[in-house]
Amino acid sequence: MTPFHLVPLLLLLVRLGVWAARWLSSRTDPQGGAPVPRNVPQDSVMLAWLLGVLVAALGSLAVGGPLGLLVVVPAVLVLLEPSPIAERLIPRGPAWLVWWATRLSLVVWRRDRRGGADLMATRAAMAAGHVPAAPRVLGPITTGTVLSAGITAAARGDEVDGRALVATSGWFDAQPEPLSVVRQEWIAAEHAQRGAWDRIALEVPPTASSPRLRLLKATAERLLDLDDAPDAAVYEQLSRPFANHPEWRPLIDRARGARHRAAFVAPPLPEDPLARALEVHRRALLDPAWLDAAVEAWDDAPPPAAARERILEDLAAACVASRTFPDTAGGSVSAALVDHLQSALLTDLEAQTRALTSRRLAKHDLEPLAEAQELAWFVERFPLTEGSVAGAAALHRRQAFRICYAPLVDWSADLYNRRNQPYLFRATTRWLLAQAKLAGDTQAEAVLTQNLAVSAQYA
Amino acid sequence: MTRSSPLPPGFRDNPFHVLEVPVTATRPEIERQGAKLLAMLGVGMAAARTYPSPLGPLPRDEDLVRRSLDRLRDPARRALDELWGRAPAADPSEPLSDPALGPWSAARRALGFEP
Repeated sequence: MTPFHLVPLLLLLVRLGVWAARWLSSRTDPQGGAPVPRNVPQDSVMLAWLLGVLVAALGSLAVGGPLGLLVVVPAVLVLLEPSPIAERLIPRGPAWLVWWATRLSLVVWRRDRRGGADLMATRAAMAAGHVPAAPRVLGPITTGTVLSAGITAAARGDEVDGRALVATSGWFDAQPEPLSVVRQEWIAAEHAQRGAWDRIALEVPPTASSPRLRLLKATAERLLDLDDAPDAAVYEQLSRPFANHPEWRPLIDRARGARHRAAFVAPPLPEDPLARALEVHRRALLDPAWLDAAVEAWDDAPPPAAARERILEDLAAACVASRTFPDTAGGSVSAALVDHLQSALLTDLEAQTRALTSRRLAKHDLEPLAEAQELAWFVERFPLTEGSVAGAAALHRRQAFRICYAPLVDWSADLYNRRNQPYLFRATTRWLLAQAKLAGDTQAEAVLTQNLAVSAQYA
Repeated sequence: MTRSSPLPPGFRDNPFHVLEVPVTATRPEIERQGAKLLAMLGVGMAAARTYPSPLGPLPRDEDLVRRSLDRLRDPARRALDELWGRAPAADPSEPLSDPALGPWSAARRALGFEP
């Protein structure tokens, strides 16, 4: 048998493969009607060709074909899953090559090839020393593109937008493993960048697959001097691959000497309650670790009426910037601060939802990425509905949810029905469903669950 | 909520800190210091472009100096500014919390999220 004789066999295999892929990936529309294709078949032709070539080559070899056909096997395997090559290319920086190598991935990035390609290419561009432009999206926006846009925005200095987009990417259905790792690493880096070591120790699982995440967790535990922090030998083992890296080295040295260190003693505070409150207030504006102490100090020494608004404004801005809520209750200043923060948030939510509704009714469509930023705005602001003053948190969460619910459902339905953005629709619906559960709104829960069921083919 | 007038300055842009005068300074002393700073800024002296504040060094320009002089000419506003004006300038070397728990400024670069 010569390779020429394989051509009809190969064509037959490809045809059968395409039919099989389309049959397996079609389903019946839950509302009745014709079968709806899943989003997989666009690559089924390529997959069928690759598998067809592989089967034909192996078949030919089995019946005594030329040994040269053995070359086909590794070539097909590389084409089936080139993403490991892309991973290795990232530190060298050829963004376009990384983009294509990820885009052709048929296994690892199967659920979000386009987004994965955008994400990996962004990382390659950063490794090459520049921040790329935000990815251009023409079709439905997916997880990787949103995450990539978030990383890019933060690298350009837009912290709030970047953080919001990164958090939003977590609400999309498709979460390929490497993408989740990149997001976890970015979030851990963001915590480390502002010294939120407690968040790293708490949020990074001990079984994290990324060695960098495991090292960050171990570092956080040692810096915090936690009981279950790794001992010196384990830490040396974890840090060895990074010990000569110029950026990592100072942090590793800091963690090496951190355990059982002498307790830190802050500069003394004045005795007079007003002078003390002023000093703690000053410290809180410089270091958010002092925020709770500042609120407490003002509760103990009520400020002059003329200065009260300035104090609340300063503390509220510091809370928003550091995304912390005062962990104190009982005093007039702490109650006023919580009220100040939550009123401001509800006002912002109302203004944002009003603008969103007006834009939707006017059919003023934005680029897909800008539409994703609309959801990101809510994802970023909503945690501020939480408060530590008893009763206030649940009440404000319900109020905030009621403000957002209908406008966001209508907006996302428009994205699904008219804008061909099913993944963003599902991300919005999943996020709203989580908020509905927190707010205890069972009616909204039922509607959102139904919306997810109707769009299940895009899950 | 809309405010009829802007919030008074707290630690940021407090007139006593901007003009580098103590809260006990007399009106002529304040005016002299203001004129001196305006002259320094007028000839572009680098030392006048920042001032030490309880929040660390902050930028200063002619407009800020003039606004600070205006505030201290009004006894009611001066009384309020005295509350914040007593605080000394921050010592940048003074740690306010455990340095071991400080931020890792190279985090994003180290993990490849910044060039």
